[in-house]
Amino acid sequence: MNESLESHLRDELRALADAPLPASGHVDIATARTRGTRTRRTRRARAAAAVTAACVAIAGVSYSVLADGGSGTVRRTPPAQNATSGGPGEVRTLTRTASFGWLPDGYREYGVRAAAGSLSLNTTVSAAKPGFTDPQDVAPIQLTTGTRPDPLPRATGNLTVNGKAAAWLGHPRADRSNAIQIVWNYASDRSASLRVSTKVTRDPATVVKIAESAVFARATEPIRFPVRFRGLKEPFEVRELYAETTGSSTPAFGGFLVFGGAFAKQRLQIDVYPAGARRPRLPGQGSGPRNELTETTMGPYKVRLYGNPFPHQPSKVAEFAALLGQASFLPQDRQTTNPFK
Amino acid sequence: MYEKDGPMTAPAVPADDVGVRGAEDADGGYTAYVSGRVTWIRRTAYLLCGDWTAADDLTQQTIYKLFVHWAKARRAESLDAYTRVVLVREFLAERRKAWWRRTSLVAPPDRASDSGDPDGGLDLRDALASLAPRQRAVVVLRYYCDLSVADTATVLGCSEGNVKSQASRALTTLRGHLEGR
Repeated sequence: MNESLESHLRDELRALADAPLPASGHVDIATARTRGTRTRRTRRARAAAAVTAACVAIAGVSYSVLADGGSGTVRRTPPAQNATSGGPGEVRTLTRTASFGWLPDGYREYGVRAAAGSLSLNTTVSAAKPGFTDPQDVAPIQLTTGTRPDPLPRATGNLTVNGKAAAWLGHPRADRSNAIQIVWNYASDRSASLRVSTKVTRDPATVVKIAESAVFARATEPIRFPVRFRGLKEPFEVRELYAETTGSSTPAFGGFLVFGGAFAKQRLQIDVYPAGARRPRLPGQGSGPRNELTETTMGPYKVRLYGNPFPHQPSKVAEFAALLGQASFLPQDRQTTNPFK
Repeated sequence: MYEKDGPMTAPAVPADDVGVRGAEDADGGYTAYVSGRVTWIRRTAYLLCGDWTAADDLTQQTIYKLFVHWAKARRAESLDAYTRVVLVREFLAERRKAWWRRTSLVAPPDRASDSGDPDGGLDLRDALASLAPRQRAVVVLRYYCDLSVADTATVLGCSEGNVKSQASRALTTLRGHLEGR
């Protein structure tokens, strides 16, 4: 039985992978080399700096020991300056690129999230019923816009959204699907995707109605955040930013940071939410090296730091925990567009 | 718009494409190697991710990381094996993120036209999507890349027993999906 399935699986996988390959304009070797060169340079510089710092520290200790007549007092070095790095896969501000024109009864906009890949930046506006509490979870209605047009499946049929060719992803008719998703390119250089949970509706016409009522905008005012964290001392990139946009004067927000370049092992998720609110546990929490790092209350907020992973690097844990002590609460007129830089 | 189909797994690359010219390249053959293998990397990434957008992102990340570690990669016994490790581990690292479940903006090209089973590819894609990332990686490595259990364990950095159990669970799930269609 298993042999038959395995053989079938081999054939199917090969057929699936042998499908016509979409144009590979998105994969760019030159870009990879440029980023790689910068990363190599940064790593070399950090390594050299570490050696230099070690030499200076040794020299400083020797000097202190001598100057103190052998008492062994060590001078404290000043803290390192903040260092951040920009990169192609970084979210710099959180901007609403689309909004819902019509939603089913009881639903309203819930939050905005931007996620940067190495080549693209996707922004998702989500909607939910009041009581939905986790902006990083999969909201029942999600409208995502992308910074590049994507090839649609060839068999689009007659499906259109405001006159633009569209296509279903998956099987809207299938009972096992937990969501209906429609994709279309609403402009020559922009794509959109609407994902609606089957708990909201199983009617494709309703999904099309939500899609057709969507309003797209390229330049809107960036969302502002009431807290700024300035304790990070290493180069890092903000890969995701999210904000809850309804229901509270102190909205929840957060981000996902990657340290030392795209492939460093240090990843940090930060969730900031009203102190009275509850949040579900995170994947992997409570097991292995991906434990939640720390959770604390700061003024009206609860801040959760989640490292993924931090094996054998206690100094990193301590360094990121120090981040909590360096948060600034900002007045309404001085709120920041990026809470981590 | 579409490229000609590439080979299933890491193909033998013509000497004038990679090996001979690459050795003398200023970047130590990196560009030549990646140019010759990018189709294979994209196809494998597609099977891991399930859509071309994510596959392209994964491919880009993979070739970037390959460049950063190119000196080490060149010393590896098999450059393709090294690339495969980078690809799979980066895929798993990405999926390990707490909110990796993102909305896909693109579907793969429909292959219904060249098949007697118009929904076969889509069903398999759906079935693969139902697998946990690690199980999916095991399926791709074992049944697409034709790696042995031991080699799969090496790529994933786990024990052979773990690979067997992951594969067993994955097959059970896939059987349920594929027989239910």
